[in-house]
Amino acid sequence: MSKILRINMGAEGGPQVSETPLGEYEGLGGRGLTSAIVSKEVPADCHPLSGENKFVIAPGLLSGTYGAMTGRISVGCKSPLTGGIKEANAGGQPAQVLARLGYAAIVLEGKPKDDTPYKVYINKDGVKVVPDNTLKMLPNYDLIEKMKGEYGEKIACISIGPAGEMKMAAASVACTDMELRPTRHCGRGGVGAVMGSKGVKVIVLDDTDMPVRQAKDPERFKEANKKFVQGLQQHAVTGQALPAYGTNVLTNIINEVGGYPTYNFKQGQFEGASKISGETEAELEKQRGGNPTHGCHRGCVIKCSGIYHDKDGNYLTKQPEYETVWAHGGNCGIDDMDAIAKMDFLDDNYGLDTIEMGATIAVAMDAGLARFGDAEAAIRLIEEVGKGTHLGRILGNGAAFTARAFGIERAPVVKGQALPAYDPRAVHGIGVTYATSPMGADHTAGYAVAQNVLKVGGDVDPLKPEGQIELSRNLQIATAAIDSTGMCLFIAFALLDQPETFQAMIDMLNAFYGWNMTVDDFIEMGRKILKMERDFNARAGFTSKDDRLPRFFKTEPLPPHNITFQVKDEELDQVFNW
Amino acid sequence: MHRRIAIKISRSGLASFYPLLQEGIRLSVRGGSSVLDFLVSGIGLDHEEIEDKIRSVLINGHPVDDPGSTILKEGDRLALSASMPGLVGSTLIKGSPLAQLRSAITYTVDKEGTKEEGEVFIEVRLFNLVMKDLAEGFLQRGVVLSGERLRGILMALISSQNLKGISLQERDVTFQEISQYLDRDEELLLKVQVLG
Ligand code: SF4
Repeated sequence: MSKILRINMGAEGGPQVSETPLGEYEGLGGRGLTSAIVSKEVPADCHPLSGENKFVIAPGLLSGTYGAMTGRISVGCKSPLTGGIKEANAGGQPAQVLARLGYAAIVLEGKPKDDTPYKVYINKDGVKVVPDNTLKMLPNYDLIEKMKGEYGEKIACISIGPAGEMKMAAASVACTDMELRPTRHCGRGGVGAVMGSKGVKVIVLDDTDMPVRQAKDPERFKEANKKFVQGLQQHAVTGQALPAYGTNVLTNIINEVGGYPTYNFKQGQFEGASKISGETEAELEKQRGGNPTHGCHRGCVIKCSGIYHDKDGNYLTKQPEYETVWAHGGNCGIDDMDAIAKMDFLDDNYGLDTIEMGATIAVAMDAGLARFGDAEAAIRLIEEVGKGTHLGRILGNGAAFTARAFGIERAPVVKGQALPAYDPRAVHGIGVTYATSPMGADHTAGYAVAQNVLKVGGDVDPLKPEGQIELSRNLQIATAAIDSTGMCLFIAFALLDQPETFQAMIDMLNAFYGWNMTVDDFIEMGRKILKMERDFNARAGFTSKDDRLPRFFKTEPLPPHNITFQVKDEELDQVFNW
Repeated sequence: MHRRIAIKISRSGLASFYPLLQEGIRLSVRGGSSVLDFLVSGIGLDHEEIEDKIRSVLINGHPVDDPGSTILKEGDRLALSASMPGLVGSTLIKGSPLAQLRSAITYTVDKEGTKEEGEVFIEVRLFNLVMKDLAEGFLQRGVVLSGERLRGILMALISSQNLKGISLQERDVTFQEISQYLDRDEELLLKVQVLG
């Protein structure tokens, strides 16, 4: 993993492939690498769909090794949804395969002269970039079936659906899972539109005959990995709750505390929550011959994912996770699990971010395009997007765009990106992260990462009001660092409680690269990444005014607790005052 | 007093109670009991089990940090959960180092409040692994539910062949014999014995 593959899609005479050494990007992976390349090489004021923008794909530092949980892949670019820097990541197989092919990153540059879709095929013998008009507007599932037919079953794919080809701001980038299905998505920020603007429909990766990446100190790496896995398995969240119910285990409890945004963020509790909870979903999957405990890539030991069958026992989609179930469920007043699963499938197939689409449909419901609770109408709206009708083009550009198109005041977005499934009026601390993350509203930007272990920025007094500002800052720093390792962020729960598991992860990095990284160095890496991202956004024209929640969170009390978001603007401005 | 129905079910029949347990069961508690008293004396859990399995305690939607000094009152809704993922999930844990993030909704102990005497009724919601691991203890102790709700559960138990016996006021009966009580607008006290 010592080189970068660059494909200039706008070169005279057709796409031009070159390889460059990592150079100044040495020691970076995942989000660290995508953000470094975008921040350094992309003019911050460029149009996100122009040839000046770059589309960067990077496996994590430990991807392609025998290390557990290392299958996370990051994509980065200037976002057409937020106008700022974007990193979105997903599980699935491509990170492992790309890393074994020796690439630390693929960078798609330039812009083709016409709209011919290209497929990129990479194996041990090299790289082929081939125009293929038969791929035009193929949905992801059909596309992958076609790739299987052409290249066999031992591949992993990164692709876009019709939404990416139509350059919609809610378009995602799909990664195939262990069953070679396009179910894992780099969802947020319209990254699929940028891949679409480069004319690349699919990247097919084949690592046949390529070796697993070997550590500098294999024995130490093996030992550290063993401790790391033990730590994950013994922890209640990573060893029990996530494997049993997936992330949708959150529905009941977030609903119970009144923080479950319902009817486009009008109330904090949904009467139908127990019908779409993780507990109910897991039972249904078991009864129908699906599977509630399944990994999204080889080497995952947590297995928060699953397989969802329809009522006849046939595969419908992967297990819809919490954010999806909320976005298409409670937020739209829908409590029909099968309808939600169908929408999850449609989003994956058209290549759409489930959070953005759910939030958009709720805005459309506010605009009178459908009734809250009408699952069939919600499905029809997604189909409009897939077909690219005029209405679909509006919806496919996200919640903020749709709200503007229909004159709706209530657009639950920060920096143009829809809020995820926690109402910041109930849990103010998460609102601090939603408001200030350089990515726009993002629930994964400030995860519960080992605050008590890291002591980043010193001890935080939980009784001081400014405590949540410091916590948000520290969590965002730690998350940026973890996002660079290639590790799934869900390891964070075990790291929070178990210092030895955190140390095992650092030991894995050190044994693999022959480094002497300390916890402080790890945190410094996170800080650097955030600084690069903030700097890009400043150059793109962002100011502190963009680090705000929509005003209605401050003015409209949220039932049942009837509270508003109370963190002051001046406090928000302190998050990155470091 | 509620009419008493007791049923025997096989272990796999517990799943038929999962929707009810998530939505809430009503049960009686000795007045003046704290959440901890209730779990120890009322349900029969030991301190280690509580510490280990019940990581989030919510009263009327407010996260509780100290179950030992939180007194249950008539009509309270108590929800119990195991450890949860996500930033918000982590903030909800009893005494979480991230508790500040949810300070606006944290339960505040009413130190001046008067303790109720006699029996009080509360609603209990069990989520996730708490539901899976501890359902039996709650159902064994007896829960109050509507006849209509019980009918649905009994039908599910019958169709999955998990219902092994029914008694009404301590007398063995058939499903047909209690059917009349399931249509009335009446609440029943249900005790469940899990076999095997
Ligand atoms: S924990 Fe879930 S998201 Fe993470 S790698 Fe495993 S299956 Fe994928």
